[in-house]
Amino acid sequence: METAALISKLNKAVPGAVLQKARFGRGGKHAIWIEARSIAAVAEALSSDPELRLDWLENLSVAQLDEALLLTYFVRSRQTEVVAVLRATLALKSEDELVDAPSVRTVWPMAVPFEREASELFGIRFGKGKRETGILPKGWRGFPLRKSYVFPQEFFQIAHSRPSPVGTSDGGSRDA
Amino acid sequence: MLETLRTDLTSWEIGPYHGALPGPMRMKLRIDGEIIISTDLETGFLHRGLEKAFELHPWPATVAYADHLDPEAAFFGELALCLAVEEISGLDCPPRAQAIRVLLSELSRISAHLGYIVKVGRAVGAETLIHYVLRDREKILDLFELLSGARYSLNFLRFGGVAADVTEGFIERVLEVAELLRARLKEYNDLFTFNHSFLLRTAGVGVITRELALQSGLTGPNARAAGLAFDARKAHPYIGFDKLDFEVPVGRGEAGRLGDAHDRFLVRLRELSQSLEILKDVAETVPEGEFSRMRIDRDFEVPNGESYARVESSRGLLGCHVVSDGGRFPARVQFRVPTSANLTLLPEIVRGLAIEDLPVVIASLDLCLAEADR
Repeated sequence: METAALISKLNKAVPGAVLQKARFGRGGKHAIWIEARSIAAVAEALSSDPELRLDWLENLSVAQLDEALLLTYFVRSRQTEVVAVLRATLALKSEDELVDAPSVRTVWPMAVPFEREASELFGIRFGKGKRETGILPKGWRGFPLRKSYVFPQEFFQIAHSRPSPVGTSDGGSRDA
Repeated sequence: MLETLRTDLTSWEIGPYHGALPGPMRMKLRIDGEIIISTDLETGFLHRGLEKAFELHPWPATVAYADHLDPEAAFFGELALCLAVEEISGLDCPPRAQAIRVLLSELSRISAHLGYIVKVGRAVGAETLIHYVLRDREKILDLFELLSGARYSLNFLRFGGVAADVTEGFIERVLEVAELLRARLKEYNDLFTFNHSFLLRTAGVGVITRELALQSGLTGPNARAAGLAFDARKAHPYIGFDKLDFEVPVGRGEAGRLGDAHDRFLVRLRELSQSLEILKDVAETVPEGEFSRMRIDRDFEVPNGESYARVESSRGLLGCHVVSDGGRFPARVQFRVPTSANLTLLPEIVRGLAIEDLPVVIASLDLCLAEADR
């Protein structure tokens, strides 16, 4: 299904949710930008539409661009072969403050591990729940995948960064 | 007077390190007698900050990091990353390099599936089979060594091709090994697949229903065993899989129920057979020509942009979302790994299971904690 037809369906089902259509990658594919607060309603509309039946959240990727988190939902149907890319942005208020986004796990149950990872590593609170934990050790501070993250020198008095025994490298890696 | 066994509810903790587990994870079980009532999973013990590490290293160094996503089938991480970067950069891969990539892809799948047979064999106590299969997997690891110098983490792909041309005699040895394994597959099948004691341990055990597979976003051989025929090599063909003739085996519930541990084993055996066919077809027709479009130096830059590549790893759909801000370092590399879905449904399928079946079910799922925690 063409992206334009998809947008037209979304405009009818969730008026005002679609912000724009933008290119995704080089291959003529498109992403549909949606308002972050409408993510759950858009997910419901896409999943329940009999022509689309976008019932499978294949992937949820989060990236930080400047002062915003970019959420990319790769969605597809097991029945109709329709594939779509949805996008939403969340503005970051400060370096160590959680940001809120609606959860899509009631529509797409497979979203659980994706949301859990993004919650912990980017500091996103999905739905009404708390920030989830499970990857990082208990008591770990900060959101490691945010650009502003500063690597701690120690954790519970265990040092885990030490000077290089061969001196500084000549640009082989970006400073952590 | 009748004596009855008192079966109170008990709590067990298995892990984080235990022989029955596929890697470091903790299972908190509630057990009634010998029946598992509920399970809580704790993972994250193998979190290395891998996706963050990508952002801290120049593009050419990221290939070696992609190797560490799944140590048992390292090639697929490399491939997903390279395909994504090549799409952003507009680099195409020469036909000879494509053929070498297909060979490596299927050799990796065979190696991983043979490793799977070993895991399942160990869980059911089939020691003889383990030795036979490990002996044969060595031949695949020898091929990796002959090609790249490494047996596990190959670090052999480069953006726009492969690191080197095939070594002398490699193609011939691939054909020899494919021929040998074809005969051995029949042996494994005769010895094991419908062996009475193997059926008792696997048939009807650890069933993943089609609905559960759909709900959890399951992919790969485990989903195919449950009746979902999705395979990224067919749905989103890459490196020339669209030109190859192969089938995607799905579960049939031959010995127990559709989607049980036995089906998962059988699907992998059949996939091995398909991979051997692909190997033979490709090895006989590797085109002449260059193996790489350009030499990638340490100052290699990827243009501003993004892409999402999908490959079918030995465990399922492996996605790689790459974002570049135009510099020498990636802005973001994110992986969609197949093990996450398996971990989500694990508590569901072990509920009601006898404790003795737990190691078999865990082995039959082919979990990789390294990729799930990354």
